[in-house]
Amino acid sequence: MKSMTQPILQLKNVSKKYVGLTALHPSDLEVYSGQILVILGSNGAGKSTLLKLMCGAESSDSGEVIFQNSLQKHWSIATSRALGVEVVHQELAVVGELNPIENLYLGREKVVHHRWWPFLAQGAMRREGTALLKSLGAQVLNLKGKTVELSGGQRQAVAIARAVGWGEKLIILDEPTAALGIGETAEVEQMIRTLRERGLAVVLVTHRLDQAKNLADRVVVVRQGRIVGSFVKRDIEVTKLATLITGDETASVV
Amino acid sequence: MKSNLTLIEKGTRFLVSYSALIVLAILILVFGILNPSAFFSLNNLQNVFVQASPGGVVALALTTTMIVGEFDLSVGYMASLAGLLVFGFMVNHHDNFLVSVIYSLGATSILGLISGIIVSRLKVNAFIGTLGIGFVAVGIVYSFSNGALITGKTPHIVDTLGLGSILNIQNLTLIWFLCIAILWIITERTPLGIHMRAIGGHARAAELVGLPVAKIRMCAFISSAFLAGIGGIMLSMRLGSGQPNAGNGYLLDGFAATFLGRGFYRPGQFSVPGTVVGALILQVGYNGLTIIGMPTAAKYYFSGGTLVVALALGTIAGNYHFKLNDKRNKK
Repeated sequence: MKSMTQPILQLKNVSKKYVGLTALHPSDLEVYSGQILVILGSNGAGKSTLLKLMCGAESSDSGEVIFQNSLQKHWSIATSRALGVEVVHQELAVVGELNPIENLYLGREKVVHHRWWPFLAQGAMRREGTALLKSLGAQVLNLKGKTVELSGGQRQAVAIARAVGWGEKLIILDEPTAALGIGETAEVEQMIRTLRERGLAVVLVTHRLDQAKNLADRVVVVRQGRIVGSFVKRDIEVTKLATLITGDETASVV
Repeated sequence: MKSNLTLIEKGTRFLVSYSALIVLAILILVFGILNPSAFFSLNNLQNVFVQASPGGVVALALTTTMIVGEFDLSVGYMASLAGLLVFGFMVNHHDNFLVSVIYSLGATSILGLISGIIVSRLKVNAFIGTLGIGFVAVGIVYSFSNGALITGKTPHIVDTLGLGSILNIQNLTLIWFLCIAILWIITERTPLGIHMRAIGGHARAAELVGLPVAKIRMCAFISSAFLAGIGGIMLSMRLGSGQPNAGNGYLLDGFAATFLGRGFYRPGQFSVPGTVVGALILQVGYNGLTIIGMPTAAKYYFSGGTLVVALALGTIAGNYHFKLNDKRNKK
């Protein structure tokens, strides 16, 4: 599978040190379109650092970032966003006080210009926003109320739809189901599959082994700032993953 | 989904969404019944609106900072400053009306800019930052006038704007309406309005989507000082003089109006229409109490009492509303 396509994003020999701490030792990572890459690891393993380097929120101390075969000398959030990379942050993805449509378009609202002043194109945003949510299979029942009044799953659906609306190439999801119940998690996971079907590259940062098994085309395990394992779908075994995450040969999965 | 709502749920939703409007309607009804001929007279209605106008504009000033999650304790002092300066420039320096207004609003806007820098760039708490700037405004008032009232010959337009009317609507009321319309359009119909509400709702999330949070907060402080200045100038035109402390009392009324306004239009949030209803609640109350012959003390009991009761009811109803939502989402 890997040899058939070029990776959309390549991190080569990237690393990150903070004062007195190596958050990520020199590592390589490749992300492919139409695939779900799961990054697994326990708290403090280096998942977040890897995520930040991928989207440009942090700059690497070494190595290089290549996006669509083009070396990125100044890889920042602004650059990555402009090239079609979007991140869905766990807790900070939506503003609860705004309605779902306002959240979908926040910062990139559709406008009509009357003379020199931009007015919101509310009708167009509502129409296109509703269509986008529908195409992703998101069931957001009240588009006029505050987003905070939606269920956790619906809020996450809005956040993912927001990312899809702008990030037409790579979507990075940071623990999207951490705060959700079983039913809501299943809905969000279905949405993630839809993203893959659309041909998007998806990176899913999680600590849930079952999710990795169910969704991933590839899994990368991070421990103590190092990538300690990388598997394609057919090689994913939950016990092996658990062992790698903890570094404990006796680790078992309940 | 909506059809599944029980009567109690519908009632709660209605209460949460319209509590301020319900309070206003009750006040109108009560005072209308107690003294219908005086309360519903054209003269009295004009009175209610014209008295609400300068304070109403100052309350709008406060709303701009409240929407972005901050507050501005200097609005009352800014109103006093602009009201005094405009008369000072016209009477002492013989400047024409427009130039005096531009100077006065320029002065308050510069102070607003400084407030904005202090709060949004230097990260000083708004309570301290804007109170400090408020005292600076008082200092300028005293430097300019030695604490004395400024009155004298002013251009004809001052009387026209302060006391005249068009089609039975006082000019000051029309200025208030104009400010409401402009601010409503900005906050409800432009991207800037959504950005302001996003920052007020969740500043970190707004920052992550790339909104210029500090810049927008700074603009809110400048608009607040500018609008407070307009309110102060309106008041001085009505009084026919520049008075050093004339606008100071508008701070508390402004706060009361904005908080009362959370019970209308955007429940639980600050909004322009909400603040307008809040300002009207206070003014109808003050006016009604005067009409039925209550002493001045009653005005303060009323504004304090209304605010506390409205907030408490709003919070209780809001919490219940959230519980219902939670329950529905879990189904």
